[in-house]
Amino acid sequence: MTAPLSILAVCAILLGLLGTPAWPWFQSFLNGERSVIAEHVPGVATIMVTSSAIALFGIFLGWRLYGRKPISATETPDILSQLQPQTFRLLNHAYYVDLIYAATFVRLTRWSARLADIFDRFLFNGIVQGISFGVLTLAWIDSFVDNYIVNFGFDTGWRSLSIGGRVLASLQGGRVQTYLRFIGLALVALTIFLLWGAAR
Amino acid sequence: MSFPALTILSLLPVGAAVLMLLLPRANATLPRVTAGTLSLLILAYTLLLWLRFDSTCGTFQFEERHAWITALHVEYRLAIDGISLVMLLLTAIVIPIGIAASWRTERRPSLYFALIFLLQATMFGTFTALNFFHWFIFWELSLIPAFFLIRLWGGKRAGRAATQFLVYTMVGSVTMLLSFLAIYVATGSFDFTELAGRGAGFLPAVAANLGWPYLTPGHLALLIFAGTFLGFAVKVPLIPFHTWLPATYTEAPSGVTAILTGAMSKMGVYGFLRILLPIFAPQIRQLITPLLWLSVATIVLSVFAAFAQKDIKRIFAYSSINHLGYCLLAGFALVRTSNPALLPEQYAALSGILLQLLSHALTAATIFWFISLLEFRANGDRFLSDFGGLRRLAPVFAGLMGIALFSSLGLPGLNGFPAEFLIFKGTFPLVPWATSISVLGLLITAVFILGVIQQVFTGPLHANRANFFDLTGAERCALAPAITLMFILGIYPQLVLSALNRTVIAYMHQLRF
Repeated sequence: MTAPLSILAVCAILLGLLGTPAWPWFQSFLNGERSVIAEHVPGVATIMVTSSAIALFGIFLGWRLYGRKPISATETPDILSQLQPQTFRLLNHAYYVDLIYAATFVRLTRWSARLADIFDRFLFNGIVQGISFGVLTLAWIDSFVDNYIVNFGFDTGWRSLSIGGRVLASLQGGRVQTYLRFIGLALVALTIFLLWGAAR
Repeated sequence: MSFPALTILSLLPVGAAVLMLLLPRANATLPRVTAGTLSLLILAYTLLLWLRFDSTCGTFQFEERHAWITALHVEYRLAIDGISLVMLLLTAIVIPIGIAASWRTERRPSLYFALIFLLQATMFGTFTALNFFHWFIFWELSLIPAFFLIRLWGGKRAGRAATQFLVYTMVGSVTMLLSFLAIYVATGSFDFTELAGRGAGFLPAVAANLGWPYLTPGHLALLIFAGTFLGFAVKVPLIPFHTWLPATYTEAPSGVTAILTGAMSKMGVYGFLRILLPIFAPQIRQLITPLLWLSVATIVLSVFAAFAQKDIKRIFAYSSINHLGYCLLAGFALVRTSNPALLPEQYAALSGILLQLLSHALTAATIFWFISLLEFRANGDRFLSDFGGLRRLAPVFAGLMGIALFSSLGLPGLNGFPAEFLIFKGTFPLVPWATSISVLGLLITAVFILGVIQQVFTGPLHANRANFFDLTGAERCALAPAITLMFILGIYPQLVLSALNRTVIAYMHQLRF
């Protein structure tokens, strides 16, 4: 584990050099400008001294606790856990940052993702499906009106006309004998009617 | 008469499609090799156009202008500026990737590749036309090959997805057509540059000419804008007009999805840049707050939805919506203000949009290429839970796909970074609140992409993946140019940006009237 971390540390230092306030090569590159090495950058010395002092203090503390008397076996209790159990617990849990992070940001992100998915599947897709359902319903109503009201009325009317036409057509075939037959029958009916009337 | 370079560009894929259909059916390898070679030749021709393009001037070049239907004032007018050039280049790059990702297509490969070439021809036509009449013909024609590619070669629910895709985009096209007919009735022009040059009061004047009852000219102008906006919002897509996309991208064969996300979705963004922003800038300014909310919702909701998905194709379908959301955010931000002090930011935002289009085309198409390779090796499985520990069996696969995925999350040194950096650099001073919320998209993209890498490549090996094999030599050689280009664009974006500077300046000058 030491080797990859060392490689990462070296790369981080080298990459850091590309964007220092004294030589902001990376920032200039992104802005499409020529980078210039500044001789004096105000306000940076304090940050450099403070951060270096903190880092050196940490190294010194590490050396004091562990460097002088290295841990011989994994079972050996940590020296800090004996000297400062509360501090050790805090450091052992990495300031509880991971726990706090999991309970807040991670949970919020997962919850937001689920919500976005529900929004997508049910709200947006639901609206589209609703429109589609509305169009289908209109189409069904239109088809119903067409088949069972308009077509039915039209078909019934057409059928009556057709039957009537067929009856009339059979009566008016153009044959003079048929007409004379009907006239004869009518005359007989009329004579019977008149005779029946005179008898009363 | 000058050399009709752009007409030839659109005709080349048509010729390729015809050639594909003439190939003998018995041979399965021939159509693949022919399609691959032809797509590379078309890419070479497009690169030649790029080299011949004069980047020292921001005007339209390679212009072809002929009277067509004089009674309707319709001209056959083709020309390109830097924006169109980027679109042509990304289309020409994405098609060979789509063909490579479809290499193992067994059923009717000749017809399949012919339809891909027809799709390419319609996209070239869309990106070169400057008259609404034939621009719209190409815009609509593109749906036909795309529909059949999804319908005939897609997954189990491809029929439903293809119909949804067609109906959705057709609805948008119809409203756009109605809007343009209204503009034409009032102005007698279909020419994009002429309409864009008419100034801020142009659309209300058009609306006043139309004189609809119950609507003021201002409201009618907004209605005309809304019709055009819907057409492009569906195509990109912008939430909530996006529900066709996850189903379509998931059901389409991965090679076609690579083309749909890499090139076809760019037609929508191109429409925003070429038509919507120049012609409807005052209306966008009027509705800027809801439009910015829409683009922020697109960025944030899509990225969270991607995080919630289990199907790898569906994850990257939502990711695609997210990436194009940045382009729309920056696009709307361009017309937010006419303060001259913010002009450099507007240049940065527009350059960022163009770079993002090219970068996303390359990255998204390559990721879907990897997904097709993953699907092939896993007998069609593509859920996250179907994979695990693949890095041990396929280190080169894991490494190269990892590069494409890192490019998608915007890692410095890869192509995604300069594009998104420029967009955010330019957009933040223009619309600070919208940009601040949108940064969430970058963060969650990193989370879900690292999640994909972790679940697919690390951890214990999945029991069903014992036979998973690494990339073959041919696959490595085919993928190498795409991966190399990711590094080139990431390290030296000036290669593209320097060719676009003049176009960006000219475009912003026109937009600010």
